[in-house]
Amino acid sequence: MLRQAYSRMSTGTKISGAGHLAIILWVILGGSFFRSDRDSMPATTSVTLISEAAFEGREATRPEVVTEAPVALPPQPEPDPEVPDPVAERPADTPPPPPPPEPVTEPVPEAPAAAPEAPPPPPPPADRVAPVPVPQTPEEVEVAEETQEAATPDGAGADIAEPQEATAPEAATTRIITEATETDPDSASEEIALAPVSTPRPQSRPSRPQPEPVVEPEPTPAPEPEPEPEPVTDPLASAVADAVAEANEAPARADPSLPVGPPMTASEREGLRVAVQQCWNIGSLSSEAMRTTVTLSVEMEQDGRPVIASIRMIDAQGGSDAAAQQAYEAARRAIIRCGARGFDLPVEKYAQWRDIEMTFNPERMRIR
Amino acid sequence: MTKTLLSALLLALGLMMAPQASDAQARPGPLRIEITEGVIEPLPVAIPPFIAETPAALPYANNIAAVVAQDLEGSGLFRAIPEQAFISRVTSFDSPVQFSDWKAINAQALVTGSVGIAADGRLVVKFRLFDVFSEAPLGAGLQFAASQDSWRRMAHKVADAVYSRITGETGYFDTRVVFVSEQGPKNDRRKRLAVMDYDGQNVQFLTNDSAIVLAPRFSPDGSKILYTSYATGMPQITELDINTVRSRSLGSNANMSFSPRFSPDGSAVVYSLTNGANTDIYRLDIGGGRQSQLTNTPAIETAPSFSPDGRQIVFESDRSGNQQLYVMPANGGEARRISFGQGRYGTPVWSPRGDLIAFTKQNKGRFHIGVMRADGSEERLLTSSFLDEGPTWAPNGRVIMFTRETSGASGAPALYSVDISGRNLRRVPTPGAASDPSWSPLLE
Repeated sequence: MLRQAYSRMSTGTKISGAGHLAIILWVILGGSFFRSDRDSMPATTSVTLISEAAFEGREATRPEVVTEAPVALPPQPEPDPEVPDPVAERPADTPPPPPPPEPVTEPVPEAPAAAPEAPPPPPPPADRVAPVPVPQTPEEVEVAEETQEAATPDGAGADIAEPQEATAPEAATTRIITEATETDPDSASEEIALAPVSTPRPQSRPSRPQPEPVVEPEPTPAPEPEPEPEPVTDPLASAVADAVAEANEAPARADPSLPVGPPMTASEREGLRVAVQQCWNIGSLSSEAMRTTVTLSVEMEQDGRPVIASIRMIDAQGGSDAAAQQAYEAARRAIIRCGARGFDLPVEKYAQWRDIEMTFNPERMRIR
Repeated sequence: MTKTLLSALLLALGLMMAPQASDAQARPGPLRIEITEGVIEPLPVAIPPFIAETPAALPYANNIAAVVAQDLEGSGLFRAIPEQAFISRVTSFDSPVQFSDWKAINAQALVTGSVGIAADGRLVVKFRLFDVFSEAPLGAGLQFAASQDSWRRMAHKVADAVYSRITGETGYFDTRVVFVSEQGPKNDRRKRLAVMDYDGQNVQFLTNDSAIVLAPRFSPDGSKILYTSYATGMPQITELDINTVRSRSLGSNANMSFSPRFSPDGSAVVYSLTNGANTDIYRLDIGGGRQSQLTNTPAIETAPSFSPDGRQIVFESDRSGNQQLYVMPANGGEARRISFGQGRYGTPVWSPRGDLIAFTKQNKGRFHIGVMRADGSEERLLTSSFLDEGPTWAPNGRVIMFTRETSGASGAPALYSVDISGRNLRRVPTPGAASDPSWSPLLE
């Protein structure tokens, strides 16, 4: 009795099991064996055939001068060049744009187009070597860090300001001028030799680029879409991923005091770099420290001032520990000095510059 | 069951990792910039008058601070801020520093000190160095004690310590220079050996003017001087003890010997010896008196100078038909030429650091003091004048002193110093005309 019942149940179970197994196999393997080939069909572009007369008529109405190369694809919004990520890359399956026409066919002389100028006079001797040369100030002008005009009381107002003497920054050159350099006859003769020997003639007008025979643009074959990887629909993995994502999003939303803003622009970065380099004085460093590149990390306040206690050296290359320490202290002084009043940084992007890593590389200064 | 457990474990693990991931996302990576342009200028340093702990110490206190400022400014690496610009006054050596007042005048370093007189009459000098913008001391404070006559040396010691802590190099202020003091008209110069502090102070004469003296050279420990004396009518190498001011002739050659220089350990001397019309370089071991010939060519070879490790010697020779620089092993052997520029090269001196060789160059009617690497590369000319010659290195290898002579019947030699970068060319004060300087090591 039991055996018969078992036999009947077993048969039913087998049938049921076989059916379920068939369904499962179809679900799993169906994508591979029974998938429609529609996805892998190459994309097609409709092409309109026109007659030769119609083509010539279209040519006649075409603008004579073509200044830009025909672009096969609609113009894409240019990515901000200052943003490293995401990198604006041409899709691999997009045909490269044709090279722009070369407007000048004659070799262009290297002489400057403008009127020839006398070779620049050698920079005057000055104790200060800086990226930007500063001419000698008149003797009556006091040397100060900030340039200001002389102010005299005009007597118009009730509060008469005290007379203020004009000040000017200290004279500086862009390289070290030794006594031998100043009087080197060889260098003078080189300058003379480099001077242009004749007035450069104006360049010939670039020949107008001949319009290329325009043909009906080849229909761009639509890129064959990559077959999408079959999503793995593991419910457990999905649940874990969802949970992690939810946990990640929560604190970011909970910290509104860190404005991220748009990416830092090149000018904003350059402004910071220039501000720091003005205070990076390596004139008192040892020769070995002048060969040492140090990287400092610093945490910034929202008003642009560095947190002094946060400044630390995270890397040093090229010198001994002692040299690295000297280089670090000079770099640290630069950050503190020029950051005392706060660097000019966009508050709305504070999250991007709250932590800064500055690399101080004296290589170019050493050879001056 | 196992699968359920595994999934639960994965879920828990994922949630555990979530906070770290969220921090990283909420806080973007650091902004990175590279700075390759800076400024090269003297570092502004404030050196207020030192505190006099007793009324008797007051003149020393003022003078010591002034000498420290002169030393640092004279190096070309520092700029002493005038006292008139000070906002704060240091009234006590131990009182806290008002850094904001020093920041306001852009002082990047601050030197405070005090001077007292101990019960035994010795002068006691204490000082501290601060990094103003970091609002922190640069190293621990130091204290020196010496006789009151040595107040200048103590000032130099303070300046050396400040220089060393800021630049990372040893100082050179507590040093001496031996030189040839010259008097009289150009065609009848009377020459005497003299020694002075590096800044031209405390000049002492070591010889009288009865015989011509040339090319004095300090021993590595600074206790002896080698020079060339014409006391016998023929140039002979002579050694002089600075403490006893006694001299003795080295060797008993009947030939001319000149251009001597000690080995780095002081155990040997290299010099030139003329035999007939030929001049070669010889080595004399001072202890054993053994003499060996290092070069043997028909050319004139002179001005030998050891490398700091004592393994090589640089010298000048005209064996190629023109005066050039060569390097050979310290015990002689094959020499290789290292100078290939235009003109003539002479009087090479190896830097105490070993990285550079200073030399005199004559080209197109001008004389130059220059430096090049030991392999002859990266030649740089630092000076240019009617006559520059005879470079000598400061013990830290950063500064070169040399002789500059002006033209004309009234022309006279003088001592000058220049930084190896070519900056900070200065005349060294001497009581009269002076030539042939040799810098001592840092005094103990």
